[in-house]
Amino acid sequence: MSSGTFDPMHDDRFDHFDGEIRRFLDLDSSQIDGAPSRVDMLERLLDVRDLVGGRQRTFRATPTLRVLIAVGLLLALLGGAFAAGAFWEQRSVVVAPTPKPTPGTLLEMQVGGVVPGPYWATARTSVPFTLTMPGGWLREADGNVHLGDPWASNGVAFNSWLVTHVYPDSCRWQGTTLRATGSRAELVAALIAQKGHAMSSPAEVVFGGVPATRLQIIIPTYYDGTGCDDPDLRVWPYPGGGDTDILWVFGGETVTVYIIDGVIAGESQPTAFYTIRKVDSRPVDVAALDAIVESVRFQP
Amino acid sequence: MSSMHGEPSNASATAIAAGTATSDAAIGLGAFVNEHYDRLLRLAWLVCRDGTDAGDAVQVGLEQAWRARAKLRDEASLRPWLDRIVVREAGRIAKRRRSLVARIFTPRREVGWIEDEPADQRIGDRDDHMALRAAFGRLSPDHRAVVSLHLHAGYSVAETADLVGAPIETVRSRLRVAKEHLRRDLREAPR
Repeated sequence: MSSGTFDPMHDDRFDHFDGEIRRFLDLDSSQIDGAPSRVDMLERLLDVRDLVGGRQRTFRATPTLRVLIAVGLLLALLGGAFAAGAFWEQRSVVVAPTPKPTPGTLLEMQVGGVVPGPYWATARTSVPFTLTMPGGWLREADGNVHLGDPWASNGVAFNSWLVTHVYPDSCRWQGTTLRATGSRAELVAALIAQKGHAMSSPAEVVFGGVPATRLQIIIPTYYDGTGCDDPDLRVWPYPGGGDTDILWVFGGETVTVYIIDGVIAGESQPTAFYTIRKVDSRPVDVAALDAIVESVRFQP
Repeated sequence: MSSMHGEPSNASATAIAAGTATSDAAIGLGAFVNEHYDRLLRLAWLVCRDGTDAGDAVQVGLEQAWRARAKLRDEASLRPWLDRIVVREAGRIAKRRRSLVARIFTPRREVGWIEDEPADQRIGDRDDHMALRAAFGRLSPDHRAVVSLHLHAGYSVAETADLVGAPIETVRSRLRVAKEHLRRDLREAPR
């Protein structure tokens, strides 16, 4: 360090450091790459239907939206193949009476507000399943369905994940992932051994009509991640072990995990389904979350 | 890098001349964008670290605010209300970007503002600035949001808690943890 104005090795005064951070954050907005100009923004707003009256909105697909549309069309095609029994290799399961979604109602095609009703789900799982979504829920492109503000301390969420690796320590995760592909038992053992947070004892349950193992992670509301590699805890990485997507857990969250066995392309691949409740989640929202879990049925 | 030199009134005038927009509303919208855009764009970018995404988040905020402007009781309440929408939308987008599809097909665009920054705005020297920039990017969107709202936008801890919808103690914890990480990363950055 050459400036002599700030030495974090020896400076314990947060006020001084705050000032340095403030200067760092005080960027010139005109130098942000890729951002629309003020004129562009005004044009966009003028294009929005009914915002100032008169001018019709033109359809401008962003790169992300174009990709989502392409993926949606692809999923629709795959859904058709799946419905015809031609695509998925499946595990034999005992099937309970299920809702009857049409092949077109793939949950994967829903981004944003989810229309209430029954859906197929074929992505992020080794066994396709159906579930019923209540009204008012949102689905993100990463598969997360949630109710309420995900930033607030009162949201609830549901998702599934093809878990191939776990972090041996959710706090000190850097440079370490443990391969856990194989069986439900192997994945459960890896999660039970995971350090960095409290984990419930495993419970053998029935989830969606099939045998499952349930685990629960509870993070204290005022969890202090100061000594960790990242301020938030990491449970498992993206399938294959990369950091494209990660299950983070935050203070005040209770994560209930259901792990089932499954098969993909002849290889054993467990799937983890999880719900997230937060410290201030409303009982009515938790009830809606529980109803989604109850509605899950794996399909033969 | 988009140019920022044009004035909103030009676009308003275009719309008005075309006879397709209500002139008063278009002029008012132009002034509204002019007043809030730069601040909101900075805030959104600090949270989501992507210019295009930041623009999308700001658009959401401006649209909602413009539609609801008549319902706001006073002007003073507009800014935090707008900031809340934009920061949350930017955070939502940042979290959504964790998905495989978004990462593969719309790779994150790095911001090159450090090269053009006046020397007197740099923190320490360039290495420090780069290290702090990298360290800030490693924070989660939740942590970047509270740091940005508190240390950049100037909201108190209580106000920041209200804006992000988290308890005050959670915000204090996030600020403390974020600063510890920034300090640690600066300390460990190669010289």
